[in-house]
Amino acid sequence: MPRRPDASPQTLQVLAALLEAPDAWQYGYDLSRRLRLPSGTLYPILVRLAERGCLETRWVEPERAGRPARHTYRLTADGRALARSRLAAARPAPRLAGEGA
Amino acid sequence: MRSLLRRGDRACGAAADAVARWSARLAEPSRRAWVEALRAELDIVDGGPARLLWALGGLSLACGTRRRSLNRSWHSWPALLRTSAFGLALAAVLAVGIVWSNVIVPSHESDDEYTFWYLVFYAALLGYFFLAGFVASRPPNRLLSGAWVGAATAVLVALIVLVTFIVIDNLFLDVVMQQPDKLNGFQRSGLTSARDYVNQGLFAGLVGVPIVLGAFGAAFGALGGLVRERLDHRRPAAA
Repeated sequence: MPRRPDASPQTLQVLAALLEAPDAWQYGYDLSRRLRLPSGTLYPILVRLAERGCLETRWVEPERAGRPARHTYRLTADGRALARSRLAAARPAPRLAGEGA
Repeated sequence: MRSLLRRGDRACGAAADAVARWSARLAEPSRRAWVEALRAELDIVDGGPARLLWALGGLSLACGTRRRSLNRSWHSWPALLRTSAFGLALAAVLAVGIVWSNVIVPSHESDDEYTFWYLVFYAALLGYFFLAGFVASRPPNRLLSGAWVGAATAVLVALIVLVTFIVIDNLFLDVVMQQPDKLNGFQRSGLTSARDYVNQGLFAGLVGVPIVLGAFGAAFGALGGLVRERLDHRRPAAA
């Protein structure tokens, strides 16, 4: 059975990390280190989220001269809604009393 | 030892810069900004090997879009061409090889000396039918379309190879009849004409070989289509 879009474990990790501080702009490398996701996994996820309008992107001027501008990310309102719904759906349903004994 | 490690670290860093630059150049315009974004982070990444790994992610991002657009253009080919492309490509290569090894640089050794390599060739041929089914089969029924592609590939290869042999054996009979296997076979056949001898075998093969090879092609093409179908199901729709 085909899976839901934006529901892979890695995407959920990214959504959860971005939702933790929804107003903060986050760097790709920081996300990669925190989530232990390689760049080749993280960036395609960011690209897809941005293409769906779930992710805002912004270039930030470097703190030190001579360094390149960096790309930063945060969830849009749609992105936050998507993150909440995907994370809620991914959470295991609570067990009923007496179940699974 | 420490200087060697430093040198290795620097080499990895330089390779990372080169890979990142090349990835940005390779990326389609719609993805270039993303590859540049990934490249900009390279400055922050600590250590040559880590930088190289980070840059390789950019390459995979750039290649991913190239691969998808290549895939799209492949699927827009007319069905007949897509089905026969694998067969035509391999047959063209084999035809050149046959002309080369029979006419241009004719071998005077017996086929028995190459038994192992013939086995390798047949195994590779079956692998090729599998690949044809894997790549050129189409949903919703990849098993069936893989079988069609595999069979078409095999039949085309068999026909074109046999026709190539018929042409060169008849045009360059004096050259090909110097092959020890053909000479021995001709002497044992009891026929009086070398041309009749080569044509008898080849025209008989023209009927049987495409059918047998086509069956193998269909089986391995179907297997390729089936594996592709399984992989497609396992792959998430997005992310």
